[in-house]
Amino acid sequence: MLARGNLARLCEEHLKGCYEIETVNVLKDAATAHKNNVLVTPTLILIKPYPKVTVFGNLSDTRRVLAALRLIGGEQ
Amino acid sequence: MKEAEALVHALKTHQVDGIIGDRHIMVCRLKDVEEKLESSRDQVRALAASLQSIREDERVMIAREIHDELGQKLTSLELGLSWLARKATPRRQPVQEKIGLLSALVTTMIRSVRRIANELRPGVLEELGLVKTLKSEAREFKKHTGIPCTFETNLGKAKFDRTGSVAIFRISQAAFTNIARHAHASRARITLVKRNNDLILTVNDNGKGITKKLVRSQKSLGIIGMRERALALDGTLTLRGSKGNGTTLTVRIPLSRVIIDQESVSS
Repeated sequence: MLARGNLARLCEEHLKGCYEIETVNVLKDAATAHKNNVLVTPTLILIKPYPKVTVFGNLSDTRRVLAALRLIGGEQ
Repeated sequence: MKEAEALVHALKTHQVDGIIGDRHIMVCRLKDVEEKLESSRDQVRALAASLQSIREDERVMIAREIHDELGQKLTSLELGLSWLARKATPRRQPVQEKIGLLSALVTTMIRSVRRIANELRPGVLEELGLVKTLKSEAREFKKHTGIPCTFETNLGKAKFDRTGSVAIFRISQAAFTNIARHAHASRARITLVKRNNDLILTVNDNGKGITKKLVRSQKSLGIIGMRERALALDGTLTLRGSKGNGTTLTVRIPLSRVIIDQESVSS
C-alpha cells in the first residue's frame, strides 16, 4: 500500500500522465512474479524504456527511486 | 551485485513485506515476524532467568538440609564414637582400632558434607563478598587441579548485590570446571575489573583452545547457561579460543546492574 502510494505520487510529480503502472498481486498471480524473478514484495520493475530496472522496498526514498528510474542523475 | 546490495538494504530497513519462494508463495509481514521473534526471545530469556533464580533457591534449601540434618547427625556420630573410644579399655585393642577407623571415616564424611553444602550454596559469597570469594576460588582451583591460577581486580572495596554476585560466581565456577576438564592447561588467570561503566570478568587459560564449533553448539549447555546468566544482567559473554593461545572467556556487565554502592568503586 505504501509502495503503491509512493509510486503514484512520484509518477504524477515527475511524469505527469506519461506512465502506466501495472500492479500484480503475487498471491493471485504467482506466475507473473516468477516470470519476472520477483523475490520480495514490494518490488517495482521498470519495463520500459530499456534497460529494465528493479527497485525493492516501499519506495520511501524518493531520490533513490528517481535515480533508479533514470528520472534524475545519480546512482541507479 | 548492486541489485543484491539494494535487496539487502531493503531487508535491513524493514521495507520488505514478504519473501517469495520457489515452490510456495509465502507473503508474510517480516517486520511483524521479527517483532514476534524478539518478543519470544525476551520471554524465553525471562523464563531462563526465573529458572536460574528457582534453582539457586533450591540449592540454598538443599544445602541447608544437608548441613543441618546430615551434618549434625554426623557430628553426633563422631561424638558417640569418641565416647566409645574413651570407654574401650586398652585390652580391647581391636575394638579401639575399629573405633579409630570409623571415626576417621566419619570425619571424612563431615568434610564431604561441608564441601557439598558449600558448593551448592557458597556461604563465603555472603560472608566474604564476591571479590574475596573469587580469590578463594582461584586458590581452591590450584589446590584441586595443580594448575596455578592468579586473580586480579581493581574492585577491592566494591559492594555487589546478591543476584549479581551469584551470577558472576557461577559463571566463574563453570569456567574453572571447563578448564579443569577440557583445556589441558598449565596456567589460568581470572580478573574482575571496572572499565568505564562496565564490570568485566575474564577467565583465561593457556590450554588447547576452545573451537568455534563448540562455542556455537546448541549442545554446549554449560556455555548457554553462562551466557544466559550474563544476559539476565543485560551483559554479554564472549568465548574465544585458538591453538597455542588457550581460551578466553569475557563477561561484560553494566556496573549499575551488579554494584550496590557506586561510590565504593574506585575509578
